[in-house]
Amino acid sequence: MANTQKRSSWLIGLLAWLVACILFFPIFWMFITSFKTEVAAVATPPQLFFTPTLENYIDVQARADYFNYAWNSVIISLGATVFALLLAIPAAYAMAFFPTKRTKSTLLWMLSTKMLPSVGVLVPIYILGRESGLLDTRIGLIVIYTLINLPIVVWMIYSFFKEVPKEILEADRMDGATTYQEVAYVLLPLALPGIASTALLSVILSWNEAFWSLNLTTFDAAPLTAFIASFSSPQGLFWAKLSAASTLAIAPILLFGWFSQKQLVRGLTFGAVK
Amino acid sequence: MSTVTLKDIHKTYTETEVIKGIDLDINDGEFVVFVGPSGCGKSTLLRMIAGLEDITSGDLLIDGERMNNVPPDERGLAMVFQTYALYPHMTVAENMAFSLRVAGVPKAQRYERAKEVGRILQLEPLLNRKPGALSGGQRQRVAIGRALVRNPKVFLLDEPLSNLDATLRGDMRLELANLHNSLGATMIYVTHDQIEAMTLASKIVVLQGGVIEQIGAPMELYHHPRNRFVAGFIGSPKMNFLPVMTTSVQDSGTALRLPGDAVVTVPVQPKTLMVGDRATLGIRPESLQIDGNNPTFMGEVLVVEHLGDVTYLYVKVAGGDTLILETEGDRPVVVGDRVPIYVDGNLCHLFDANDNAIPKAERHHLTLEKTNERQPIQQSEPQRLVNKDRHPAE
Amino acid sequence: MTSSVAAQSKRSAAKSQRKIPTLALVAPSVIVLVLWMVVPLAMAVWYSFQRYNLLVPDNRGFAGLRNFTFILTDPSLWISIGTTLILVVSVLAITISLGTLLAVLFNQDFPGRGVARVLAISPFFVMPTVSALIWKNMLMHPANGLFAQITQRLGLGAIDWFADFPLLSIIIIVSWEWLPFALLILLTAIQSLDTDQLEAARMDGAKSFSLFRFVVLPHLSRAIAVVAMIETIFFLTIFAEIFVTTGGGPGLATTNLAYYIYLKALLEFDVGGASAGGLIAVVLANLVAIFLIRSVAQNLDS
Repeated sequence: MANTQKRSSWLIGLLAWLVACILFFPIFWMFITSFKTEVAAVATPPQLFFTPTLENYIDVQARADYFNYAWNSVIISLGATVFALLLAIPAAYAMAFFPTKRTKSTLLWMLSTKMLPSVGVLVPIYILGRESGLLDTRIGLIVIYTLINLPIVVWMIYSFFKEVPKEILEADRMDGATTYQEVAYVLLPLALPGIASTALLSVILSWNEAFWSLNLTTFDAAPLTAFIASFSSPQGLFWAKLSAASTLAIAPILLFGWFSQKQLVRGLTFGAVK
Repeated sequence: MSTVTLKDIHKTYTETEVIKGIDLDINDGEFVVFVGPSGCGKSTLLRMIAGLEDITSGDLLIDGERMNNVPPDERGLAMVFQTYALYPHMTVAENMAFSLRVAGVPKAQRYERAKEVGRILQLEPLLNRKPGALSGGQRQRVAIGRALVRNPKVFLLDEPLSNLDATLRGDMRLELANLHNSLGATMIYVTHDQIEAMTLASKIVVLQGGVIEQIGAPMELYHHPRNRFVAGFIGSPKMNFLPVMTTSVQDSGTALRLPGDAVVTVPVQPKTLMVGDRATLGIRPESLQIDGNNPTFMGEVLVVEHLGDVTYLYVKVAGGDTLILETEGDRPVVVGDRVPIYVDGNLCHLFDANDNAIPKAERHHLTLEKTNERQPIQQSEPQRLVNKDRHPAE
Repeated sequence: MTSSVAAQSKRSAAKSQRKIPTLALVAPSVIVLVLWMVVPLAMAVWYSFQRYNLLVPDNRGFAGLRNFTFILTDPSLWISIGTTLILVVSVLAITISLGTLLAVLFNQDFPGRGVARVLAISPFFVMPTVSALIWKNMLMHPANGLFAQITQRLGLGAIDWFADFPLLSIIIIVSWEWLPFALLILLTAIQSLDTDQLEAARMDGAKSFSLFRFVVLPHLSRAIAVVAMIETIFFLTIFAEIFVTTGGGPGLATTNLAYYIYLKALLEFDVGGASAGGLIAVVLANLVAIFLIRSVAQNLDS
């Protein structure tokens, strides 16, 4: 009995690793291509072993406009996250600790705004952007991303606040803490990990967003998503460099995702799965 | 002075009234225990005194001042929560000093006070640990310490021992009793465990369904329960109840026929029952005796529980009722034995058709006026909580 | 006391709770979202009844239902809706069925489980434009792509994926991106399954397949429903992958509703038509949204 179990566990491991490698392979392939020379990148047969070079990364770093796009991604993601948190934390606090009859429907309604297909309002937003001069600006994208992420951010922080045991808040009330003292000394320290993972999710969603970033930006405010998209038909000699640029573009988010899987599940499913 | 007075307190949650008119006087230095089954309202009552729940109507007075609309932290109270509710991200010292911190007391002073309380509760080696690294009993003491730091007029304790295991509970009960003796503070304590109530309280308040069933010292409740509910609630194992019929009423006592036709005479005041009335007889397991010389009836043993010091027998008697009987630990009884049971009328309680107790002819000697106040436990050496002999250099 | 009980309770109602201005705290978020909902939608409705082309901005006027009739009789719209449905259903089927199986697989104990899991969920975190490019240029490219290289060495010739199997290519790409999502969510859900339940079933004699069918699957059904709803919401508006690879083609082969509207709006500059199309998309999405909200609402109560 033990023997067959060991063998089947071996098989399971093998199968799982096979699947993992297959799924990861395209990323891996791009990653190693970034270390090839352009010639090696398009060589036939495709090379698995080669002498690696950093020239692509150096080239990419040297490009001033690459830095511009990367910086746009950073500013936009962080900006949208900060604004979303500023709006969401007070709202989540009020709804978690002082719920009214309308709290539940408000939360559900916020959720429903996430269901609006972006494409449905493409035209009005585009025209609004044009009229207000916010087309191709970072602040324009920040506003939009704040709005589309706000429901998730509110939900996540609400659910983290609700996990703070009620008795702890009653205890600090008995201890004489004012509302401000309670929030500063008790609530926020306890909810900080939750707020951090919420912020992380917001950054990930903003960084990867590829509808508004493609349609509302051209040069100035284009983040990395748009920058990469502009290379949809590169000549062969650009592949290695493109791989390097792409690797740099996805690396931070990949790492974030790796380290915060558990926390992200909650936000990605609006708390329906924990 | 720390007195608490409740006048006609009511509490309604939307449609349901959960506290239905409570009047209570708590005197300075008393250890009052609210006890009752789940849902009786004892915790709600405590939280209303604390200020964590609103009082729908009635007056709450602390030291003569009306406190209904005073916020919790201004009432001069401190509370120990059932789940301790310690701040998980703060050290023990910070937990205990928190109330001083929010009051603006400078750091040095508040840590001095925290250390002092830590000494009293033997928490000194733990002052820099976080609650997550403490055992249940230690956390409990930190919760008490947090309350102690505030030097409150009244301590409120909400089932503080219910999350501890049995042995620890016994130890903590002793610590709480000692704490009360040394501080002399007024304590209001909520529990569902009547043993805690009996051992700790100077005054017990038995609650059921939002109403007070009886208030009194432990011995008062044990020997003179006012109704069947209190009689069945206080005392473990539970009191036995048998339906009886009154056969004669005299000054020396009222005679009742038990199921199975045995007759028992109970010395109660004669005015209340009449011949032919149905009633309920109550007798505690520890009051039933196995006596071959003078049996009231025979019983067949269904279950035997040997506890070592005592043995509990579940016996079936004539009429079909099952009684619990306490007997010596070394009595050799097995399932199936027939045992002769003697019911001593002097130890019985009688309840009328409305379940109200019929007053006994004489009061039990432990419930006479003089001994109403709880006497401190006499020990060979008095327990020292604040060790005045401690070397200052430590 | 009886006279002013109501007033009493209102006055003292504030006392056991802290006082905070709940409305002021929640209002900013709500107001901002209301604006986000109302303003663009209202504008879209307005435009959908207008004759308005950004290329000839002067020629504007009320168009009645003409935009709608024009669009609804435009076969491209129906093709795009059909393509959307094919896309959504295919990717849903693939991600959920494979996701469930993989979740069961990754729930087992095997060496390096943590690392394997991290590798398997990676595609979800790659931005869609990069994903699309990897597939288009490195894997599926008929001349230089890896697939072509492999099949050629095997003597099978090369497949021009985006020319011959455009929609399938898109389906493959999106499935690759979202299978990890389904895997992650379902794996988390499986791990919340009480081992007690499994052990009880095993004691009752259930073997692997029965265990899966009668214990695991029912437990997962709610998570599967959530995954399905969320994925549907996103799949209805797949855009970047199409934008970067096929541009909707060849012909209309990979034009879904989102891309159709995009073409109308930003390539033809037909504001009226695109708005009408957008409203249709909104209606479609709302139907799905109602179900998702109901299931999340149930979760709120728990």
